[in-house]
Amino acid sequence: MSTISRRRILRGMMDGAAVSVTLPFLECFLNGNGDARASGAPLPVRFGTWFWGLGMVSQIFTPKTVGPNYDLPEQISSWKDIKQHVNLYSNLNVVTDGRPPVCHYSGWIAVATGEAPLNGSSYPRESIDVTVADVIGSGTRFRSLQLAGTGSQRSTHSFRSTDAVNPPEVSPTDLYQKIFGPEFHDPNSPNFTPDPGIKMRKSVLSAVIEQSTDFRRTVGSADKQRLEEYFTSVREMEGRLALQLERPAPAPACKIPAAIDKEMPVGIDAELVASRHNIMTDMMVMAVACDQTRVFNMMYSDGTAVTSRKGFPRVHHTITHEEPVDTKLGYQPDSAWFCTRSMESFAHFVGALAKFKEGDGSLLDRSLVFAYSDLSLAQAHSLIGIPMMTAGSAGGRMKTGIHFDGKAGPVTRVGLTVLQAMGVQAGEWGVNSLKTGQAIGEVLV
Amino acid sequence: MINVTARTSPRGATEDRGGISRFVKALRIGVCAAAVLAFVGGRAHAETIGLVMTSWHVEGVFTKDGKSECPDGLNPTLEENFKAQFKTKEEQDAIIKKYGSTQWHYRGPNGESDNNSPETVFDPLPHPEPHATASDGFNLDGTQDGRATDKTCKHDKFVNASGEAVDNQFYRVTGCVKSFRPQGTFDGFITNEIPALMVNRWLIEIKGVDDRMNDDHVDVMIAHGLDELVADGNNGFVAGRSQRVDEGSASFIQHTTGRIVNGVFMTDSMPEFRMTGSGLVEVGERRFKDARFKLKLTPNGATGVLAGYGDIPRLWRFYAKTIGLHAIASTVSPPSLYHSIVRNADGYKDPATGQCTAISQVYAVGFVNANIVRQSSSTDVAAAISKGAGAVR
Amino acid sequence: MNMKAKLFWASAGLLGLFAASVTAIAEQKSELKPAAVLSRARLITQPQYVNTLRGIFGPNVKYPVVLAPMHRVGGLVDVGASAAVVTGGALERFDSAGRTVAKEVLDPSHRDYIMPCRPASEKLPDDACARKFLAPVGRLLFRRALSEKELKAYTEIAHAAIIEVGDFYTGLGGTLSGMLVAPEFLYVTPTTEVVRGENRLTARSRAIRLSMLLWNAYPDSELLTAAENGSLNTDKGLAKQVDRMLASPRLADGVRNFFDDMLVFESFDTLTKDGKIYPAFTTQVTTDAREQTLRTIVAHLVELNGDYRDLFTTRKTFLTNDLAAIYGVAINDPDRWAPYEFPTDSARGGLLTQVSFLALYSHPGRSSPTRRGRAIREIFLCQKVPDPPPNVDFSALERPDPTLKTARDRLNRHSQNPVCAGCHKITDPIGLALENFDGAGAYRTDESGAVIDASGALNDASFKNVKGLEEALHNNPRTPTCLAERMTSYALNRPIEAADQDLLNYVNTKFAANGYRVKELLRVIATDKTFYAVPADNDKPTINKADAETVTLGRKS
Repeated sequence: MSTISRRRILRGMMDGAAVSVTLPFLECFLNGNGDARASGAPLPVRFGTWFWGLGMVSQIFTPKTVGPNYDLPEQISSWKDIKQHVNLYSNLNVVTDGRPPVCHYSGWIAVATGEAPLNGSSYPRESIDVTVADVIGSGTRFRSLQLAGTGSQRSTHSFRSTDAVNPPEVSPTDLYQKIFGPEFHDPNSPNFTPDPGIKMRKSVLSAVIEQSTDFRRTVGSADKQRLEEYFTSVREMEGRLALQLERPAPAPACKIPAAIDKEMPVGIDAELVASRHNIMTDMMVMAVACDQTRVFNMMYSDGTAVTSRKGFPRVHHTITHEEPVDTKLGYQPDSAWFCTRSMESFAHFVGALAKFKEGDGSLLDRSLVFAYSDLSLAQAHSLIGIPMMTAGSAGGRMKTGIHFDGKAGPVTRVGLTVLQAMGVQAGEWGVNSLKTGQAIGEVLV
Repeated sequence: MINVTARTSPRGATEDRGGISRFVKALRIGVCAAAVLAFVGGRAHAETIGLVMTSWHVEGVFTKDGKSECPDGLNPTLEENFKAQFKTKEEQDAIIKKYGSTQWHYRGPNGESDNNSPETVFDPLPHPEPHATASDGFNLDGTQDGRATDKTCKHDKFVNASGEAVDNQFYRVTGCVKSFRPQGTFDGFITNEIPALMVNRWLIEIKGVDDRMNDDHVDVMIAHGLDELVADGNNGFVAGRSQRVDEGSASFIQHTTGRIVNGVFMTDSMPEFRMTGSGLVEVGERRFKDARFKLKLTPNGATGVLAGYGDIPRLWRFYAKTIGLHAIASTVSPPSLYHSIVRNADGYKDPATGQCTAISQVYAVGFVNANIVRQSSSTDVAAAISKGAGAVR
Repeated sequence: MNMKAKLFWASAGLLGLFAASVTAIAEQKSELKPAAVLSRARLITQPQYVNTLRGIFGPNVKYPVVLAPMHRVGGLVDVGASAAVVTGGALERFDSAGRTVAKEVLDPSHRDYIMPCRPASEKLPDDACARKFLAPVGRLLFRRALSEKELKAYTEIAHAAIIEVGDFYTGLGGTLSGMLVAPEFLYVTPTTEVVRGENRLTARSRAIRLSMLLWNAYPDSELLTAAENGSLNTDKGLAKQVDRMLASPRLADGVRNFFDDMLVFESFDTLTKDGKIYPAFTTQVTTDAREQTLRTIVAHLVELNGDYRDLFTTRKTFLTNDLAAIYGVAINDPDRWAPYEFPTDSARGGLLTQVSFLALYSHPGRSSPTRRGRAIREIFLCQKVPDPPPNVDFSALERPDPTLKTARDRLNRHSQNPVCAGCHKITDPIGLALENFDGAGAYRTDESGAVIDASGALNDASFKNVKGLEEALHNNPRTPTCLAERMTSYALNRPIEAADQDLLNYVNTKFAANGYRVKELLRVIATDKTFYAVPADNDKPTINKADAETVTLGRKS
C-alpha cells in the first residue's frame, strides 16, 4: 500500500470526517471471493457512479412489486436484460435540516456526499467516489475516470471539496488517447520493457518537486492545505508513473479497442448525448477490463439537464417546468420522454459491463455501480423518493435484482451500503438527519 | 534572449496583432461608405432577392423502383452491351488484349472508343426510355402536340402541373438510366459537387421587386459566385450568407428580365444562357438556348426548374469524359446514351439534313437566399448593403 | 415599487448611493487604507497559461491546452483561481498540457529559433546549452531569476533526462514539462516585505499583479527587470511600466480575458441550437459569435479608447459570413473578419443585440426574456437575481393556449402567480425589449403571427423598443460602477468586501472623471498604492530568498 493513501486516510480521520476509514486489505477481501488471475492475484473490484438529471415519473417508473424479480414499468422497460443485476431503491428521502433546498442541487449533493449543501455553489464534503477511490484507486494508471455525455467540462460529480474537482473527459477521441494512446501498455503483452520516457518523467517530476521546498515557505497558512492537495496529487502521479515502470499484472479480459479518430459534434440533442454516452461507456469498459482504473464516474446529463429533442424548442429542464400535465396520463409526457431516454442509457451502461466477460463471470460481477438522480419529480423539485440504483455484486458482496422500499428513510442508507460493499470501514455515514448507521441488510451479503 | 527571439519566427511571421488596428482603420473608412449606401438604399423601396444554387437534378418522374415510368426496365450496363456485342470469351479477350483496355470501350469497327466516337458504335441491347408524361418545364417549341416545324423535330410533349404542354426530351434519354436517377452515381456526383466545387456556384439576383407575390417586371442578373455554401443544422444550406459575384468572369454575368406571378418567379427567354458546371466530376460549360428559369420563391430560397435547348456536340462533350471514366461504376453505355440523344433531339433543326441539333432539357434546381455582393461598382454594393436587413422596419 | 422590490434593490444594487459618493470624493487622491484582505495563492488559469507561454515561446508554437475548469467566485472565474485546488484529475491536465507544449517548443520546426544554442551532439547532454535555455525560461516561468544553485539543479535534471532517453531535445523537453507542473509555475503566491516599517508587496509580486491585470499573463523580461532593479517600487518606474504595458498589443489579451470571464463566455463551449428551428446557427456561428463580441470590445475599448458605456449602443462591430447570415446583412469580404457598421435605423446596437448575448441567454429553440433580463442584471449591473423557488409548479401556468402567441403573453400569464411575479418583475421587463431577436439572435418582427411588442423597462426607465433598453443601460449609473467593481475584484484577485467601499468609490470617481475609458480605469488601478498595499493583519509575511536578493539589488542600483 502506498504511503499516499495511508497519509490521505490519516488526514481524513484528523479532519473528523463522518467516515472513519482504516487501511483497506483489498487482497484479503478478494481472496475470500475466490476469483483470481492466472498469477494467483485476485481480480480487482471496481466502483462506478452514474448520474442522470431530473429524476423520473413515478407512475411509469416505480415497480409495483418489492423484493426480487420486480416488474418493469414503461419507463424502465429497457432494463429487461439487466434487471437481474440492478437493485432499485425507492422511497428514500433527502432532508435538508433547514438548509435551503437548492433546486437540482441539494438532492444529488446529499446522495453523493451524505450532507445537504449550505448553498448552491459549494460542496459540503467529498463525493462518495473519492472516498472509495482513496481505498481502491491507487494501484492503477488512473485513480478514477470521469466521463460526461454532456460535452461540458463542468459536468462532474467527483470532488474532494468545492475547489478540488476532478474534471471529466467529454470527447470520445480524447478519452481514447488518454487511455489507449501511446502511453498505454498492454497488460497481456509478453514483452515488457520500461518506457524510458516514463522513467524520465518520473525522475524529472521527483527532482522538480524536490526543488520546490523554498516555495512552500512562501505560502500563507490559508493556502497550506491547498498546496498539500497539490503535493498529494503529485505523489499520486509519481506513484502511477512508478507503476507504469513495472510489468502490469495480466488482465485476462483486456482487449484494446479500435481507435476513434472522428470527433463527435458538440451538442446536447438526446440522440447525440446517448451516442456520446454509449461510445464513452464502451471505451470505459475496456479501460476497466485492462485495469487502467478501478473507479469510474459517468454523468449522462447535468442536474438541470439541458438535453434537447429535435424540433422541440425547449430543453428537458425547461419542459419539466413548463409542460402541462396530461390529464389522462397524469404526468408530463414530453418530460417523461427524456427520463425514459436516460434509463435506456443506464441500461446500456450496465449492459456493457455485464456483457464483458472476465474470468468466470463478467466485469459487472466484480463491480458496483451506484446510480442516482437529483430529485424525483422534476416539476416540483421533489426530494422525496429520489431514485437510486445499484448494479453489480461488487465481487459477491451485494445481492442483485431487488427492488428495495426505503420506507421514507434517508437516502444515505444506500451510500452507506455502497461504502461497506466496497470495503470502506464505515459504521455510519451522513450528517444531521442524513446520518445513518443502517446499511441495507436486504442487499448486502 | 528567448523572449526576444520568440516574438518573430525566422519567417518573420508574427501574431495577427495588427489585425484589429487594420479593422479599425477600415471601419473608419467604411463608416462614410455606409452612410452613402444607406442613403442610396433609402430611396429604393423595391426589394432585391438574392439566390444561390444548392441542387441540380434531371427533371422528370422518378418513382422509387422506377416500375411505373420505366416499364421496359432500367438501362443495361456497358458490360452487358459489350458482352452482347462480343459473345465469346475469345472475342472479348481479343478486344481487350488488342487495345490494352479493361473497360470495354474500344469496340468501334476500327477500335474507336465508344465514348469519344459514340457514333461509330451501336449497342446491341435496347435503351429503355420512360413512358411518363408529367414533367415541369416550359413549352419551348410553342406547339401543343410536338409536331415538327421549320425549326423543331417531332416529339411527344409532357404536361406540367398547370396543364401546359412542355418539352423535356433529355428526360427521355436519361429517365431510365440508373446513374441519372435519384441516388444514382451521376446524380450523387452532382449532389455532392454543388456545395464542394466553386465552379457550380451560381447566383441569381432579382432586382426591383415591388411585391414578392406579383410583379410584372423585375430585372435579373445571373452570375457565377465566389463563396462557399455552408451546411446548416437541418440537412440544407445556410441561407442569407453573402456571395460575391465573380467579376473576373464578366462574360458569365448575364442580364435578363422577368416577372413574378403568384409567388413564382420566371425569367423571360434568354437566347443563350451560359454556365460553368461540374455535374459529373469534370468541369465544363453548359449552354442553354431559349433558356428560362421558373422558381417558386420561399421564405428561405427558391425551388423550380431551368429549361432550354442544349447543342448535342457540346452536351456530349460535357458528359463524355466523365461517362468514359465512370462508365463501369455508373453502368452507362455511352453509345446508347448518345444515340438516344440524337434520336430524341427536338430543336434547332439543320435545314440541310432535317436532323435536330439540340435537345430540350429541364433541370430541377434549388436555391437558398443569399446576399449578393458586387465589388466592381459602388452602386451595386450599395444595393446589397443598404438592404439593411435587421433594421427596425 | 413595492416593498419587496425595494428591499431587493437596496441589498443587491445600492442604486443611487454611488452617484452621491462619487461626487463627494471627486478628485481625491488615494490615500486609502490597504485592501482588507491579501489575495491568496492563485492557480494559473487556462488563458494565463497560454498567454504566458506564448509570451515566452512565441505565436508559432501551438498551445492546445485544456485545463480543469475553476469555480466562479463573485462573478469571475479568475477570482476562483485563488481557491482552486490541483486534484489528481487537474494535475493530469497540467501534466498533459505541459508535455504537449514542451514537445512543440523543442520540435525541429521551432527549436532552431527558440533555442539560443545548438547542442554539440543531439544524442548527448550539453550542459552549457541546456543552461542557456533553462536560465531565461526558468526566470520567466517562475517570475524570478533562478539562483545558481537552482540552475545547477535543473541543468542536472536535464542532464540525467537526456541520458535516460538518449536525445538532447527530448530530455530538455522533459525537463521543461517538469517545470510546467512545478508549484512555482502553477501557483502565484503574493510575497510581502517590510520597508521602513511599512508592509508592502515585494517588487516581484507587484510585477506579477500588474501583468496579470493588464496582460493576463506572467511578467515579461522587461517587467521582471524593473522588479529586480527596484525601479518598479518607484512611482516613476511603475508609471513607465504601466504606460508600456497599456501600449502593448498584449493589452488586448488582458481585456479579452477579463470580458470573456465577466460575460460567462465559457458557456459557448457547450452552446448549441436546435438545427430544425435555427438551421443557420452552425458550430461556426457559436465560435464566431463569441469572437465577434470580444473583437468589438477590444476594438472599442483598446484601439479606439472608447467610453465603456458606449459598448451598449455602438453600431460598429466585426462580422464573418456565417454571422452575417444570422444578422441578415451582406458583407463585402466574406472570406475574413470584416468591420461592419449597422445603419442608424437598425435595431442592432451594442453588446445586448449581438448574437453572443442573445443566443447564449435563450433556449435551444426559442428566446427567453427571463434569462436575458437576468443576465443583464447579473453580468452588467452586478445584481443577484434569486433562483426560482423550489416548490413552484410552473406547468399549471403553461396549459397550451393558442391565444398566447408571444413570449409577453406567456410571461403575463406566469406573472399572475404571485410567487413567480416577484422575480419575473425584476427580469422580464428588461428581457422583453429584446424580443425582436429570436433564440438564435436573428431579427424578427412577429412571433406566431402576432406583432411583437418590444417595450420594456429597466428600473425607472421605460422604453418602446430595444433602442430604449440600449440607452437605459448606457445611462444607468450602475453600469460603469459594476464594471469598475468587477475590474477591481479581478485586479485584487479576490471577491469585493464591505471594507473595499472606499477603494471602490475612489476607482469609480476616477473612472467617471476619465470618461469611462477602460484603459484609464486600468491605469488608475495599476498605479494606485492601494492595489499593492498589504493589510496590517496580513497572514504572517514571508519573503523568499530570491525576493530578498532582488530587493537588495534594487537598492544598490
